[in-house]
Amino acid sequence: MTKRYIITLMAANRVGILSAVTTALAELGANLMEVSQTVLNRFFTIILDAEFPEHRTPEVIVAHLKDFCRPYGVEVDLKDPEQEQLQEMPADEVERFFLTVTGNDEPGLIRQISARISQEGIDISDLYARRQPDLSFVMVMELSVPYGIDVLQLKNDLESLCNREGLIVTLQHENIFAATNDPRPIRLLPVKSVHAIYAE
Amino acid sequence: MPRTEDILSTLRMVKQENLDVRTVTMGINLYHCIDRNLEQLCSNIYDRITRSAEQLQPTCETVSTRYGIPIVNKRLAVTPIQRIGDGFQLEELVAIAHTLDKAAAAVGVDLIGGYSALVHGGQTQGAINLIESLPEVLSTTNRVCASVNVGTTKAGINMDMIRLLGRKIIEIANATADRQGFGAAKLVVFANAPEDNPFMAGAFHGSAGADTVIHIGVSGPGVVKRGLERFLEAVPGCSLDEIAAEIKGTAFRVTRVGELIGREVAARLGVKFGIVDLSLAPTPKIGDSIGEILQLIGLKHVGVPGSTAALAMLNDAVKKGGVFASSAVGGLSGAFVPVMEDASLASAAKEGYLTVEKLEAMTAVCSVGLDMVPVPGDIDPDTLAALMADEIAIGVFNNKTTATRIVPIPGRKAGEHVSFGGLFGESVIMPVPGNACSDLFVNRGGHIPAPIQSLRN
Repeated sequence: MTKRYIITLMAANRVGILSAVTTALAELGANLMEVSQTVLNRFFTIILDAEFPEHRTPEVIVAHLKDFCRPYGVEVDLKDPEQEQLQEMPADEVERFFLTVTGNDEPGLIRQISARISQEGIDISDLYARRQPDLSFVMVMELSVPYGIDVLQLKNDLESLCNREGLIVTLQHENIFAATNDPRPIRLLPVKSVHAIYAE
Repeated sequence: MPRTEDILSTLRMVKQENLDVRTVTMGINLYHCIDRNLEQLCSNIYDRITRSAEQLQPTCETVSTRYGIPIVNKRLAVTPIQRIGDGFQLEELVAIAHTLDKAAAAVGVDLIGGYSALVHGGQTQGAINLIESLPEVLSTTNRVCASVNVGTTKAGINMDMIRLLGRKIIEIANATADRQGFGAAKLVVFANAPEDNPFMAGAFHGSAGADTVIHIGVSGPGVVKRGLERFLEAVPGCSLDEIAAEIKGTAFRVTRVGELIGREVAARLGVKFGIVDLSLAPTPKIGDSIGEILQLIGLKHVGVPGSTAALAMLNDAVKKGGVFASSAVGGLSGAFVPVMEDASLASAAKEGYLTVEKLEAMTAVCSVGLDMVPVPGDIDPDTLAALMADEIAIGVFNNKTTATRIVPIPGRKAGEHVSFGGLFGESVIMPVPGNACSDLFVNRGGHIPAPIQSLRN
């Protein structure tokens, strides 16, 4: 029997960190299910979903990872999915949209936008934001928008929320990015026609 | 999540480079509206158009919002009215045109194409009536666009109808003299007219199409130009084949946007998706110009030596990128060179670099032909007909579509300025050398036989 944990590790980035982390995990008998790693402003962060032998306790896992990766000064955090209330968003009940904001940097922008989005029950499933060397701001937010949300209304609200000189807000369905960047043929999910809607 | 760079580069095309869908055109078959009673026929046509296109505007708005892509025009194209109205008299055809105008207004579209006749093999009495009715139709309707196909590579060129059209175009211009002859801008004379062209004024619904179909016309000169500008900044000394490859990449992305929008609009309306027309259609806006692309490629002015070669390369690169992007490419799909609608072409015409003769040569390697060319109001009708015959011959003998949209400007001379405003633009009136020297040729009438398909030199 196995047990799954979600673990995050963070440290100043140095060559060899990932090797140390995965060696420690192997010694703990872990098998990785999903991994996401990024380096931000020279700091290394990784989040992993891993399966361990059932008898391996969280304390042992955290202690061994910290110990083995001591030369790198890694901080470790572990969560047991069974102890958390997890939110389910079935893939067939949401559509992915991308919200992009570009322009002059302004403190509080992400706070205002995420507050407005959460009111609608929209989940932010991915986010990239950065202040550019020229002090301008770029943010790309991936949203899981439940069917039935009035996208036009949401777009207008977000535009008026960010209605400031030099700030451009765009909300676009993910299909447009696949169409313009992926050479594979365009495939649309079946769309209900307005004629069919009238007939009902 | 798609790569952030991909998201931002798509965004840049929309926000900074004027990427839009130029037109969503609904093709509507009118064959089953046919009735020998004029009132019944008009009522059938009105009902058919308004029912089919009722949801076109709101659906386009929904899809445009969803993808953040502006859809500039929503238009209609119907079965050539000659086919529906054969057997009716001139005044009755005018009534049909007014029905089209009313139906287009009712569904909120700015133009409806299809007041058209196909006379490449010969003309029916209905076709003659339709051509005779053009001055009245184009001067008393706001939204109706007309076209006449006078030649094909298979059938040759109908010179009798070209001669008649020479006279009618001058009558149309005079009938709309209060609008500087603008009526003539709503008539296209075609060779090898495509049946699925979404662009006005030459759109009509082909008889081999589905009952109702959605076609897309993409834009693109602005996107191609800015993409090329960025590329040239990064690689200033690049060669022509590198430029062609860059244009191809942009054309791919532009076409993809068109296909996505078209497929989704069609699916939501529950009708068939037709084609994406890749034409680079300029607008008078600075930066949205074919001429400026040619200048970027390395020509000081449009019309100087090298213009035909550069345009050929541009046209070909656009097609190659588009054809790889979509299996539904059709229509005209090439670069347009409408003089009045392209600020850079209009400026080259003013400075004397771009002449009617050079423009004609350039149209041998690009889409359409002598398009939105303003000529003196006192042009001899036979000279106008002969000018059209030249352009039509380029299409017929090179197995491609060509067309003319020549606008005589009543009471004005070559060198004077004319402006229609908005998307129709402005230009200096272009001189046509050799006025009144082609009358004997044109008045011989008859048919120029179809060209030989072998020994092609």
